Amino acid sequence: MSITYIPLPQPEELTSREKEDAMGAYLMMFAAFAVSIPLPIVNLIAAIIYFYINRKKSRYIHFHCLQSLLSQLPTTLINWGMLYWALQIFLFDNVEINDYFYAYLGFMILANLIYFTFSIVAAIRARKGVFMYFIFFGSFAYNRVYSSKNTLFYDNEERHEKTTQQLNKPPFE
Amino acid sequence: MKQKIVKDLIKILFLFGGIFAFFYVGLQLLSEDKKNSWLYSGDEAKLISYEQEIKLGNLIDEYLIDTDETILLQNELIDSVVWAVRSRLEKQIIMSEYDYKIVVVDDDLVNAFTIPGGRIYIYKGLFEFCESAEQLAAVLAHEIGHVEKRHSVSKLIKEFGLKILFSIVTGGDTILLGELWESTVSSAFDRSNEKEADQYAMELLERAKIVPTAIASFFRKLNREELDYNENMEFLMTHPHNNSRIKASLSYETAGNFEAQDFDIDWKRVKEALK
Repeated sequence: MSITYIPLPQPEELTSREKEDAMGAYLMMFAAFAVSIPLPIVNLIAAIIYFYINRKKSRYIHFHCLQSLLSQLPTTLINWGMLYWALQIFLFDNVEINDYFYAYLGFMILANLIYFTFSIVAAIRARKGVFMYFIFFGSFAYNRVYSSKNTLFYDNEERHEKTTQQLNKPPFE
Repeated sequence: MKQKIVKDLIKILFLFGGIFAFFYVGLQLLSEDKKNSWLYSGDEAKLISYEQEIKLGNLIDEYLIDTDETILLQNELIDSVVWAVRSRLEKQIIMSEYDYKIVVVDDDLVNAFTIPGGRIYIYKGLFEFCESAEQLAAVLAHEIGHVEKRHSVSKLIKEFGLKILFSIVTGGDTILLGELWESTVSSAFDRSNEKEADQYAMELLERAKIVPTAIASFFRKLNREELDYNENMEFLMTHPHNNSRIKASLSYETAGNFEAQDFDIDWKRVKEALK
């Protein structure tokens, strides 16, 4: 069964509010990041909260919130790994620093930098009403939000389009 | 659509794996010296000059002999053994800033340690513990490694701060000297420092035509004897990693033309002289 997709909105069709909320999905992460350095779960919690608060506003906002949330999962996991490893070395003294640790540190820094760069660019483009698809996460979020299988009601879409069954009928025609 | 998502996922995994491999391979391509100076040891020692370090060492040594009443062993045979081992190693040290002072402490502990300024203390118990002059040379080469890499002074700067060390060098506060001495013998070097000292020792032993595997045989004996770690040498404090140090010593590759020259020392006689 082929899946159909709802046409994407063009920049001029989007309201300023939608664009700002979509941009906020990426920028909010920066605010949470400072707290997340010692505890790399705060950014994820903030992203989840932002996602649930804003996702119903419009498909455009839903897409960007979902892409932002999903795209920070890998870096969060990588940062957790580093936190665990560093604690084992410096606090519990269970393992020693080796080349793998330094390679992982470099990998973590670069992964975070890539994520930061992409998030900034995506935020700027979202503000302009332009879609930017991250590798994997972009396709996944698009498939989730813009497919006809998505049954979520959005505040800026009229609901009668979704209601196919006419349960309530007038008493006479 | 699903195919594209799966393809993207594979791309991401390859990208992450590639980044990690890039850093790991990059580290392997770095020379040991660069890796050690960039990643495995701090630059604290650069904050203090060699002259100041030597002065600090002299003050700690004075404290040891005068206040702590550490007794040095007076034995001609042992002195000649130390001289033989030391002179062979010292000749191979490249551009040293230190005038080494190596003494034997009259104590049965299996111990050896170094304080700033090129002063090395070997305990009598270590002579009894070692099975050959080569093993003693391995320990001494390791301690020389700590001296040349300035681990001792780096450790003191980390623990006490530069200000305190400067105040000691200029004023010679004996109370603080006691603290420094306690720290020198009671706390171990970082594992990275131990690794660096081992590496230095193996290279020095090779240049001095002493088998670098003497380090491995010494550690094997340590593992066999399972000495009390609280009472014995700094060398032992990294015990959980002794096996990796044995492995490193055994896998050390000497140059193709390397020919070991054994010491002409009757080790049984040395042991008897200590009884």
